[in-house]
Amino acid sequence: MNDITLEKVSKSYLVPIRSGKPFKDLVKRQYQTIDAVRNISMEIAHGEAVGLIGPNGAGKSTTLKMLTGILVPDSGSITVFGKDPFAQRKRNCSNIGVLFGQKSQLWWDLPAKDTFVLLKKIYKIPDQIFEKNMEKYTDVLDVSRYIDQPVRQLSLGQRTRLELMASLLHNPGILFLDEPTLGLDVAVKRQIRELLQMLKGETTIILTSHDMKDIDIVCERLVVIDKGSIVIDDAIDRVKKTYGNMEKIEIKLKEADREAVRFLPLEVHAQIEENTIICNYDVNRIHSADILQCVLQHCSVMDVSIMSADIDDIIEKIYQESH
Amino acid sequence: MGFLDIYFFYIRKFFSARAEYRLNFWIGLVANFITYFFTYITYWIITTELADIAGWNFSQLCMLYGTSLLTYALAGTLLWYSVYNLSELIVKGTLDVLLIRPMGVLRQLICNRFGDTFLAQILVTVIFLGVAVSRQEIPLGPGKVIYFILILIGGVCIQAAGMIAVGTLSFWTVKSQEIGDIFYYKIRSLTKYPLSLFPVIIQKLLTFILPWAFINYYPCLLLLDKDSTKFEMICGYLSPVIGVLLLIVSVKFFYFGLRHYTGTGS
Repeated sequence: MNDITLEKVSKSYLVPIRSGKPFKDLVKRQYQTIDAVRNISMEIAHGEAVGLIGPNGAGKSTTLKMLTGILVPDSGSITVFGKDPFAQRKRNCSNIGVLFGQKSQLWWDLPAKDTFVLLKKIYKIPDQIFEKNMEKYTDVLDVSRYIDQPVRQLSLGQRTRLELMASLLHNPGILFLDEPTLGLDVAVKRQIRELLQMLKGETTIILTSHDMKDIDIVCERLVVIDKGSIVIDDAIDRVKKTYGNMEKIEIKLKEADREAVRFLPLEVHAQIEENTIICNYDVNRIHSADILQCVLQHCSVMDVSIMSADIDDIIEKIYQESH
Repeated sequence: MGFLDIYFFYIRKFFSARAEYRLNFWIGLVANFITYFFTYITYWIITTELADIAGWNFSQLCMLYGTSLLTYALAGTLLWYSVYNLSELIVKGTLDVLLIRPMGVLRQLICNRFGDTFLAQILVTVIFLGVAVSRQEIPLGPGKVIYFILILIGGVCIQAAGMIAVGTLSFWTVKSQEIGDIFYYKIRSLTKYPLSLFPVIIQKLLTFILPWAFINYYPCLLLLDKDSTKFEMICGYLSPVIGVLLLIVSVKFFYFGLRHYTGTGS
């Protein structure tokens, strides 16, 4: 049986429309229904790691909130471990772990360890399992230096690692992560990715992120949501093949040269910003070396940086092709 | 058992966190103490310098106001910061965090913040209830003591129901505290004085529409042997029952509201 099943799930919000006429708004307000999620169906098997992406306001958070039992869908049915997550909220909660990148579950003025003891009581975690997990995650996430310090004295990276630990102490079957790496430095990001890789297989992981690398490393399956609907639901490797494996080069020139774009091969989508050329291209169709060679022949180059395209580039490409 | 264990764990942790802001804590207590101390002093001045209020002397007024304030403060230590002010928790996203834990939402809200500032109200009230009893103008006896305990329980239930109802409104509007300010605070403050002082319409309002008179007025009539009609007697005896019923209704209302919770966007 699947861990998670969504069947034709929809959720809309009522949002007031401001007419711009202040007195009219005071007397009678017009409302507009915003469809946050429309008719989504999806199945997730145990042990899968699924990356959920989409632009801001696409419906990712609403979907996560319905799966965690915070929000009730307007129509359709959701089951998590065979049960309705809202109607059986408490039961659902003891089987899942949730990390909201922007909301803390740690006590601000107290050491994180106090929150962990509280969670032990709330989740009724047996002593043995609690001790074992405390030891394991203290070690893996390397938090022993500051686990006894008041949370407000810690950096964002330190706090996020403790938040992650808090969501794992009760051995959840499913782990939901909403933007877990937002604002973190590379080292912490890597640490979190490594932990998620370690959990993968045993724990089902649902991850939203704006950092494609998080999803690329942790997940095998990609679900793209746009305007409340699922646009793509497929294996990441297949998505990459279909939509191209995008990369980006930024080439900084000694002098601004508006004409530089002309020398570039046709496969490259290029823009110029002051004295920098930004090239987006599909690695299946052209190599970075070819692009560089072209530019070097014609211009004097100061600096070059190659990066994998961020999620926005891929999403943009997906939208261009789906519209 | 599990709940009490968690509740007291929260309280212990609350006070160790509060110790970091010791000065705030003491200032809050003293300010509250002084504010409510002067309300009692007002009664004393009016009744000694002027006259009894609608036939109630100082001791009786202390019982009347004391019942209201004590039940308010007891309910407040449990519910004021997190339930009455639920809209703040919704805006901060705290409610979402509580909703992902396997424990009742209201129970967690009760644990979430201990209403330490209400300790001053409790203290000042206990002092004046002591004064009232020591003046030997209050009828005493085992029956009266048991009835007093019952009306305190009923009163706490009504106060709690009011706070829960106001908090629940924040599932629909961010202005729940303003509504609460009028219907809970302003109108309930009329119960500082004997109900018979007011026009009939106000008496009806406080009995049938916003039943705040069941917190202290009707119970105190019975407690102080001041009930004169059958209606007043029945209201007095029914007060604890009405309290429990209102609490049940307000909790149902809360969970109904929770279904309409739409979160904060992100």
